[in-house]
Amino acid sequence: MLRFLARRAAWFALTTWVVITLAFFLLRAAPGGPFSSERKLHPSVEAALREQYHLDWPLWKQYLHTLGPLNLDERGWLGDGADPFGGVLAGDFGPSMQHRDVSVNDVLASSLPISITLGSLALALALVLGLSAGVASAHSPGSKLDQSVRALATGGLVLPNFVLASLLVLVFAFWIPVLPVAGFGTPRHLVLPSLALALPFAAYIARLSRAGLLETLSKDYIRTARAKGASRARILWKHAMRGALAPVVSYLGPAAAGVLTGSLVIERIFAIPGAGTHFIASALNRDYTLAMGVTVVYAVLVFGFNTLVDVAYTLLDPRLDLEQEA
Amino acid sequence: MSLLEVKNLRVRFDTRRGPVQAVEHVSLRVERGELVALVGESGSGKSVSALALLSLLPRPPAVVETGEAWFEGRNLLALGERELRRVRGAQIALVPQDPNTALHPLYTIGDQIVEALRLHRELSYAAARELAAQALAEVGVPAPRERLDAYPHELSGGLRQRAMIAMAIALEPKLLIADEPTTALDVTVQAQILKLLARLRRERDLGVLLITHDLGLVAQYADRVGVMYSGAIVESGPTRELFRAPAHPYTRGLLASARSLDGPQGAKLESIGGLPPDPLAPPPGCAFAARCAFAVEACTRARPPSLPPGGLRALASSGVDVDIAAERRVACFEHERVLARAGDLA
Amino acid sequence: MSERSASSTPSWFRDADYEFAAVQIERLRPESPWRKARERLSQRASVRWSLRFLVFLALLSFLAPLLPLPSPAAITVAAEPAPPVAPWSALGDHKFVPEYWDLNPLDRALVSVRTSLFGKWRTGPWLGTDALGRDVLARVVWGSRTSLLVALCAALTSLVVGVTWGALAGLVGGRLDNVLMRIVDVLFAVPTIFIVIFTLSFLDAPKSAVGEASLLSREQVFFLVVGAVSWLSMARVVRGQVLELKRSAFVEAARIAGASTPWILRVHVLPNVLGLVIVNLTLTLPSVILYEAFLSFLGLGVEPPKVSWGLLAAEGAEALNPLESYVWLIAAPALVMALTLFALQTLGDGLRDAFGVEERSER
Ligand SMILES: Nc1ncnc2c1ncn2[C@@H]1O[C@H](COP(=O)(O)OP(=O)(O)O)[C@@H](O)[C@H]1O
Ligand SMILES: [Mg+2]
Repeated sequence: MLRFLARRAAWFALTTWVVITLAFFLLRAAPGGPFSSERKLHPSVEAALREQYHLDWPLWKQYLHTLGPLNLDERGWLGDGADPFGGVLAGDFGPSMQHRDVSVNDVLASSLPISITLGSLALALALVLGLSAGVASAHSPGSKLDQSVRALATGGLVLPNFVLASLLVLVFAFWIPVLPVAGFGTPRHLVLPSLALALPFAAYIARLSRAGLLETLSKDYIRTARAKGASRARILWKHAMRGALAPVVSYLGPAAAGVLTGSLVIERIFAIPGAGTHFIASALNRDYTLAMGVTVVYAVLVFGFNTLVDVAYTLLDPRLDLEQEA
Repeated sequence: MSLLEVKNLRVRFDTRRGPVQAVEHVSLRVERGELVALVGESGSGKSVSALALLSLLPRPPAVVETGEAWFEGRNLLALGERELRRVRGAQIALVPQDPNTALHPLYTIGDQIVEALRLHRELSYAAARELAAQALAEVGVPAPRERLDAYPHELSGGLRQRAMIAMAIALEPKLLIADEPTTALDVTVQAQILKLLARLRRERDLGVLLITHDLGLVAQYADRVGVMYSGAIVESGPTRELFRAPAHPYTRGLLASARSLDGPQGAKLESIGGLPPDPLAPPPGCAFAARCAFAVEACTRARPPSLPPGGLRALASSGVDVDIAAERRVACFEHERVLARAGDLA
Repeated sequence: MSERSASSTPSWFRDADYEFAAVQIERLRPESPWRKARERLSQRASVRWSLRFLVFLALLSFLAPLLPLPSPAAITVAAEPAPPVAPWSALGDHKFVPEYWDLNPLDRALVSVRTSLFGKWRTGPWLGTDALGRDVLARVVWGSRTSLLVALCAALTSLVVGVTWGALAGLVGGRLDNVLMRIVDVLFAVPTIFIVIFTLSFLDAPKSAVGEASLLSREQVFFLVVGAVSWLSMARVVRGQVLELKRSAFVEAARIAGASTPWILRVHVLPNVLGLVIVNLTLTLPSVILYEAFLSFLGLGVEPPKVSWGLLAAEGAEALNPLESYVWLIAAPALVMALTLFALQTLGDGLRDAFGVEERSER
């Protein structure tokens, strides 16, 4: 376990560095800058702003300033000794370039919890819905229930999530107005967005778990369980489920990344003030620091979740060894 | 009343490429404390017959067309799922063909045996574990208590097979169906496992249906034998008589090749030429005719029926005790010619 | 099963033991994956219909400029969205105006053929019109070009880069395998959406003071980016399969029998990998088409007046409200998209069954 975590940490460092570097250079390579657009800025004001945000520095210096963890600012290395740490690696993203007077850390602190709540809710919902549909379907393959589950799952996979979301809004806002369709605050506000976000993933999980269960149910050891006198329900839940969960669990990694991506759309449709909103705006406005902040945080979230998934996966199967999986 | 009496079992598989008659005609009997062997080359339908008895075949594609399996006054093939569950494991235990795939890879050996016990008896987990350890000890697993916590992949093939047998006998069933319990094992382990089965049937009056293709084991341990070929039992009878004087050319071929294996070094290895028929397109006549040295024209036209018990009168002329031969059955038009040449075999 | 081995064996060499050995070797070697797959595929009506639909769609999409459709970009000032009209009550009229964006030479040629064939005749608003008076049918047909082109691009990169990458790693093995797969691992861990959005937003510099012209159009970058992120899972899958085959009994047997490496590659490895590649492609394509829709919704897709299904669906979703139900605006693009993805999925399932590939959770 320790060795696994150590190797993971090394990977984590490498990945984070790649993300930071890619984001940094992609952003700087883009035409325009954070202040180039606002025509009303006097050139001298703009120059002052550029200086304030160190945009007048050579690129390598800016890069080191952004990267950290050792602080390199206008006072020189280590912030003149007063303030030795800074930059992304020290967890300090600096001030936002678009929303002046606010630090990126503050922006993230206010918006990220919302996105994370929405995302985890959607993942949980996708798991619950998908697994129950998959089990129901595999319990009696070929039945009416199985057929309708498969049809629904197909529906969830062939439509873009904003179309699904719009349909939900249409139904719940106007025809069955029982749930709020925009904003954020009460738990009731979360129902529709998380459902809309979860549906495609639930559909895929239903497919995966159905296929996994059917495959596992045809194994020799299931026959052994039947030969022992175990009941159908017991065989499904105890003997087949654990093996069938493996593909679902390993799908959770990609699903988490997908949920983050999907929330960019869902937050916009349901007017939720999450981090996704900042993501696109900051990239378009060349808010270098904010864009960097959102990117790094999302990458870290995805990586952390994938590590959790790997641990869960090895817990599920005693034949796997974390040391080797790392 | 016999412990188990199977009559006229027929099983078909509806495959994508057409129906396959996997078991065409199987009738057999196992008494209490008796060890009956079912022999035949692979694909002859031994496993399918065994699994059909406990309704363990996947349906679809399997269809049990006809048959009765009387066990303690009840027809297993007519039992409902609930009653069947009470028989499985507790009354009739199965040791499946391949211990490597038959054990659940994600649970420990102990948990799997405990589950079998607790499915049929009101036992605490601790008590069931104790019994499981005893069962492991009984089948000769060293350090049984530690093995309880082992996963199947941590054990050798021989230990896995023993664990399977321990799981089967833990509930003290009346009948044990062991499907090639020794095929994957080396010779010394084979002998140990067979000795174990022989001891259990003596001590517990356990009936054993042993499926194998090792004639050496059959000769040594089995009271009676059924020889299967292409889905049917072509010959059956008491082991000694059947081995001394086979009445079916296929049995004869099996014995000849087994003997040539044991024979002096450098002796010509005999084998039965040709292949069994394609199960999707069986020939109209005897399934063995194409490979048979005794075949006559009639053999390619119709299936030889199974002779009723006592029908083997020709045995008398070959010097075999007629009283014992009353139990012998064979399905071959030319059995008299085969019997007459029994002397060549030795 | 045995007819091939029997006919290629000299008769004096065919005794029972040899035949037994031949049958055993035949059993080790899986049946030809192609023959088996064809056999199983042709039995499925759903697969046949999916294939027909996709071919029809591809033709329609390629020949869009040739069809007597209204122009997908011609705007009628101050129009309201108009509902669909049945073809039998409004077959068409003679008001065609050739208004397009910058077409490539081939499409221009096709348009001029269209004008000489049909003149000013155009079909009626069978699927209605949008808020700018543009014909929805024409836009859906023209929009299919973007969506299918994106899919084609992803397919090509998957095939060229992904398959080469994975096959190289699997075949050569050792250190190269390690390096190649670690690169894939890192790229997998980098959330691709960031790269996509950053790259696309370069070209979208509405506020940039000087109109710095980029070398590539937004569409071209879009295709490049989607291609660049879609080959990773293919590389993994192919490598896995190649490794499995390398270890498999029948390749071992062929090697012992003295078969050369190219022969093993051609006869054993290639056909077996190809099945998996095709299956994986049918899984990649739907996700790429959905990705296009996703980016269009965020305003990062093709630039108007060009169209794509994603753009149409996004416009339709925005126009959706219960007071003025402009349902056709969303129904038309959503329905063709759903049908296309459904056909791809059915085809993929059929192929997966036919090639005996398990459902995986890659990607
Ligand atoms: N799941 C199945 N589907 C189709 N046919 C089967 C299946 N299982 C067994 N069979 C058929 O039944 C025949 C007998 O198999 P089996 O009983 O396993 O032979 P063995 O005597 O080696 O135990 C095989 O030759 C095969 O044709
Ligand atoms: Mg068998």
